[in-house]
Amino acid sequence: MRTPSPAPRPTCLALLLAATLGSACGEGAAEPPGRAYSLLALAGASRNVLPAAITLRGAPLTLLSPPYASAAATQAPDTDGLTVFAGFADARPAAYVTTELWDQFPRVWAQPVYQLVTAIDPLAGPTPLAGALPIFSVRPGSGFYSPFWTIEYVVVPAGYAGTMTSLAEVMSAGFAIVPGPNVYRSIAPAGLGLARTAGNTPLRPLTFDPLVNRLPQQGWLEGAQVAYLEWGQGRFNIDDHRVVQETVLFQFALRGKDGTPVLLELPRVSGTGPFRSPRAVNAPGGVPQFGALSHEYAAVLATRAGDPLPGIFVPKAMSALRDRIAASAGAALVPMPGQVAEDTPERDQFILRVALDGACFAAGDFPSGCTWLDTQANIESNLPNTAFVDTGRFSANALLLFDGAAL
Amino acid sequence: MIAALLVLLAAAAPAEATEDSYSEPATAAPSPLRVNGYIDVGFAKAQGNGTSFPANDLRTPADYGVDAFAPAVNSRGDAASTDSSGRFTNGFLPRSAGIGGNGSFLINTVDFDVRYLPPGAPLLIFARAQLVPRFGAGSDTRVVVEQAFGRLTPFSNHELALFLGKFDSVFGIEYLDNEANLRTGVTPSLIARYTTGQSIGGKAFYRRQIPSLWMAVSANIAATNQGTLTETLQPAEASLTGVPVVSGRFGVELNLRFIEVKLGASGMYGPRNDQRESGVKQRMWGFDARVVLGGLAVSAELIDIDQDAGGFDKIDGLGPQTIASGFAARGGYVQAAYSLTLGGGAFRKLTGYGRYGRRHAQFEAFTPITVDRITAGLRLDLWESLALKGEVLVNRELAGTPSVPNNIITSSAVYSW
Repeated sequence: MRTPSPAPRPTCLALLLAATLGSACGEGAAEPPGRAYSLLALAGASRNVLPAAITLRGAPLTLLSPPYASAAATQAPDTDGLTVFAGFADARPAAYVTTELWDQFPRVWAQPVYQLVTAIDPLAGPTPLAGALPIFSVRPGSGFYSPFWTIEYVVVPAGYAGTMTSLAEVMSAGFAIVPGPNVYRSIAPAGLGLARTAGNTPLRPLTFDPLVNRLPQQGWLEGAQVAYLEWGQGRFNIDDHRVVQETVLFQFALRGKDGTPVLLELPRVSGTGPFRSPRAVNAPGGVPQFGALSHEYAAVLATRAGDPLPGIFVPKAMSALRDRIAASAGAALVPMPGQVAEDTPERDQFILRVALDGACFAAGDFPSGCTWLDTQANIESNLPNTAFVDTGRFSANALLLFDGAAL
Repeated sequence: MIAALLVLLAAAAPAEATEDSYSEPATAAPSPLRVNGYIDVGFAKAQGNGTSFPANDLRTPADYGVDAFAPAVNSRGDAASTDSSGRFTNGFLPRSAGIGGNGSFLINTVDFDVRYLPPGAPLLIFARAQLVPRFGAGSDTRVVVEQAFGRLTPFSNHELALFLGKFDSVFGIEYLDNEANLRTGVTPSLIARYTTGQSIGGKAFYRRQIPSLWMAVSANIAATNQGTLTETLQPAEASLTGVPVVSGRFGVELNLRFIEVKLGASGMYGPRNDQRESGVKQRMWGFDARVVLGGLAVSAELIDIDQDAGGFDKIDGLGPQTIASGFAARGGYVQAAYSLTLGGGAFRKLTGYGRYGRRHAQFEAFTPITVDRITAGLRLDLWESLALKGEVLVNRELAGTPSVPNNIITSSAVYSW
């Protein structure tokens, strides 16, 4: 069997933007339907599909360098890192990494991962078998692979000394299998971690919130050890057919001369449910159960005569960033903030946030006087129907910061 | 006399009867229009729930890590069941008899063959329609136009036949056994799903006798909508890519006084017809051999198939699916049958047969699986129009998939007219 090589995505401004904020360019793609890119692929043979997703060792950390920061930063020299992107989730600053992509895939499925345990206590939970590594069931490379797994506990006797390293061995062993929680794990190249400077913790761009670093762990797949990155349990939900429930992810854009969206280098906004179906925020223990599998939409900031002009918030002091945004979006979309905005203590949390009417940046009731396009409901209810363009892309995005807490 | 001979040939060595894949009717009549057919009534019982799906394998799709074709119950290759208990499948399935693990009578096939020989023209027009009643109605109960073609034999002194329409596969030898009245046993082999499908297109068959060497060579070449896979795996009624699939077999046969030896090499190449990209290819090669020595007939076949990965546009004979995953398989079988001629009364012939088959297959990035099957059975031919068959299938999962109870006991009564 042969797997087709990935087709290059179309040339557009998004390719430039991808180098900064991980924009997608989903319009006009002339490739066959259905391409999946695992983290192994994005870090290897398909690196051109989303080059911004990974910062190579020693390379500039673009989002932690000017004009986004005051000083240049480079990736640690001993490891490649998944680029940390700034975003917004439910009106709050968020940080995430993009771990997998699916183009023209209407659905993504969860697969089982098996964990040996010696007991399962209803209150204390499972007792892992010492030294037992998780056993993955499907390899990256299949269109049915995803980083979304359901943990299946294999209950072995206490003191079990056997070895199981493959699904076939698990199936043949005949031990009881008990369903466990969902878990988000990306099979990854050995040594890949989060993008960060040497000796420091990863940071969210723009606000520089510290994040929890991730180190590769080991698991089994068809008898061989593989490395994986763990993003946490309970990050997503699946239906009865093991289809992972999607969440809309908005990327702001302008309408190009040919009518197609031209994506802007702005933080993306995660919804809480599928497009046009926002759900109440579900984040037990502060861990959001949404946003892991994103269905990407362009949200075009189109204006009609008489409509207010949207604004992208950039503090006065960040003139280089203002110039950069103005170069792509136009100066009119980057109004100068008033003094109230400048003096707002939480000012940095609004950097590159989009308001429906940029005039509010100069008003005395900033930020509450602004209608921020930072939630699914606000975006879908305030932009016209024609503003939304389905990019045909799903992405797996691991939230690292939500509601002020590192995950 | 000719009719009886045809029946005996069909029973003893079905592959001998119809090298050009057209199933010669079992009766002869002077009329240019002939209507023949058969009814295949079966009784089958499967172990377990009639499927090969293990309870604890939660991988998606459910049909990628097992052999869902293993629990076959009839000559069509229908499985006792394909019920995955709600788990998602992606179209790598046979048709289902819908009987689960219960013993059940079945009308496997009601077959009607119409043949017309226009007087004065080197032409044969043939159509085969089949009724396939199944429990569960819906799409499982079907009327199938299995063959519909015209055959032109332009030269009286050359064995050249040109076909246009829907006809049998040209790959290997098992397609010659497709019909229940021709097949020695009840069920097809583990590799029949790749080699025995009908398709629509054009075909040329040529055979040249070399009398001085008691041998003949033949070529059978087809260009069709899909290749030679069965209809659930790739639809035949339309080309989804616009590019035909080429398949063919080259054969050598040695016809000595006491022994016949036939060898063949087959190939198939073209786009997968379960998706719409012409660049997504499938390729298959195979070898076959047959030896007939008195009442003993031994046949064997070996194949290797490889399919490229496509996109998210898979559609097969079972309907729209999802991903056209890359796939590779290899397998084969050896079958031996020994026939005792019983005389000219009611009991015409008794045939005992056995077959061993093995298959190794892998969907891209899934665990490869290896299975085998031991088949044993008896066939009794009564008069000229009834064949009674009983068969046991022992399915074994050898590697990559857990062992599941999916052995089969099946039987068939085939009434021909």
